[in-house]
Amino acid sequence: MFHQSHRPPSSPPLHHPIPQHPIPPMRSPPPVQHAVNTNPYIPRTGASGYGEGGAEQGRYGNLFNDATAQVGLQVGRNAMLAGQEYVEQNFGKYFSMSMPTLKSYFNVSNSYVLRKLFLVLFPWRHKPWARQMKRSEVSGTVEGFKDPRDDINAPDMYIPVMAFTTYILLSSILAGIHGVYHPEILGYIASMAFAIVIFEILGLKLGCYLLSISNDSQLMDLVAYSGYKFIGVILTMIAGTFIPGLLIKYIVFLYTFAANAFFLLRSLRYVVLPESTVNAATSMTTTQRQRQRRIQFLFAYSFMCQFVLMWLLVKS
Amino acid sequence: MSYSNQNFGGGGSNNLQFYASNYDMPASTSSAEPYSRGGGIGGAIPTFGGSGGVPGASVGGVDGMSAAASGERLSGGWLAAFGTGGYSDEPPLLEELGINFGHIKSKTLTVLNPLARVDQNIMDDSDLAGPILFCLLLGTSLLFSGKAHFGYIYGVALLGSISLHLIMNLMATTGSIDFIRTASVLGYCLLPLVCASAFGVLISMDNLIGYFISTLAIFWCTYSSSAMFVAVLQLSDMRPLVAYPLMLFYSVFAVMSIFADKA
Repeated sequence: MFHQSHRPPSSPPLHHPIPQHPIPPMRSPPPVQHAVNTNPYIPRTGASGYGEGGAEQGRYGNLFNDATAQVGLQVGRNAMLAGQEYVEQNFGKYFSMSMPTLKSYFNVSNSYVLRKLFLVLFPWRHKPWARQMKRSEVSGTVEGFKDPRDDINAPDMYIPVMAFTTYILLSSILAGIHGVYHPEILGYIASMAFAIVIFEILGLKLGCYLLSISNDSQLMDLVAYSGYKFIGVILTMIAGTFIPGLLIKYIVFLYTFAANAFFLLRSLRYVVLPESTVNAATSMTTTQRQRQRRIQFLFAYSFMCQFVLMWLLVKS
Repeated sequence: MSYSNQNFGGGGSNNLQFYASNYDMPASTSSAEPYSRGGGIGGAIPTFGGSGGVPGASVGGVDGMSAAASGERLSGGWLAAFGTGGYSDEPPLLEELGINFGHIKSKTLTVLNPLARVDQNIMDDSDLAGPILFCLLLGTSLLFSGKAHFGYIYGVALLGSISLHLIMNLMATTGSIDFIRTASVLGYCLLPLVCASAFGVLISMDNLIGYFISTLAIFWCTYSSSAMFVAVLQLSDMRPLVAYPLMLFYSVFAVMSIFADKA
């Protein structure tokens, strides 16, 4: 806390604690007007009291003009920076997503969301599945993929996140309709679904490592694609509630599973296998055997989604 | 005192940004950084830019020091101890806490009237006193209908506002919003659900009429909060996309107030 430095502590005022021991003499305070905003060591917001802002800040600023205090501050700042670097180095490789890349996954529009939902449920007749490239206006070189707003084939994170949350909410509503509701059930279902998602992401990461698919943005794309199966789960749960009978529920489940598998097969082909449009000099050329293995991985993944789908449904 | 006369009405001149917005004021404060807009829990913590005029205005101060630091003695006795007098230049308690009942009332009326046009600066004085009050009211009306879910309400509100804040910032390309403001908007727009849960005290909500009232309340909450978010983040073409997560958030509260738990 801040303290008065050169007044005898006879009766401490109510606001600020006053140290009762002698304090080394400080320099006299500079004039009030100059010291208000120029001292970089004082935090800018409301650190001192209400009625004393400018004057006291000049008085406190002398505390940090002392040479030893400055050295101490430097040491502290270096320590914090070193700690930050350590964290970034060791944990950054697990989550190396920067804000702009993450933001590009959420750059969606109304029409994109509607068409994508339709596409996930009826992927049979959609023709071009390749993602389009974004070219910079300056040099005309390829700069990466287009955002979901401009390209229907681009994966986004908005729909998976919303579908995941809707699934949790719908499960708790169905529990309420069946008469077994408790607020704890919300946390329980959320933890279960989250655990399944994490498990799947870990499995994908393992698969990427084994197949030497090294691109990190591809991992994020895979995570996004894995979230689309919640749409089918939600539809199945709704169908099972409003239409009595187990048969219709299984029919809807099988249909959405097939549509989801087809959608994943077609879309992930361009993620997992290297494309020929990317400049071939820099990308790794894969042998035939590696391509075969990747295709097997793709098939196994798309059909393994069934097991995960069933787990999500059966337990609710 | 001089403080309350100047600032309580919403603006006045430059010091003590109690209602730190451009609502009435000229552009002198519009270029300030986020902190100087009274951000923070109280909303009444002045910035150094704002308090530059204060030392001159402090009554009985010497060299810009406060009345407390210059040795003014408080009056003694029991009456003074339990009274509201203090140092001569202390701001009033409500202002120090950042609770401005006039603003709370005007923001509540804005939420309750979904047909009025939302002014962009209504939420500049982002306080959390109104939202916490509404959460408490919701918990109380649920308590009257037999469900003691105070902890769940606070937990869902905190978790939901954090994730909604993240989603809103990720979706916005040009604008951005800080956490206190999102929490404030979400809390104020909770009011229709509080009214709906007040119905639940009298009648059981676990039937068709209850579902209908709750759905109406959810839509009302979502409509007003999405209007405010779209205005702040400049996402007017993505309003349904902004409204959907808000609808999910409010549905959790509605579900909590409809279904009685089986112990």
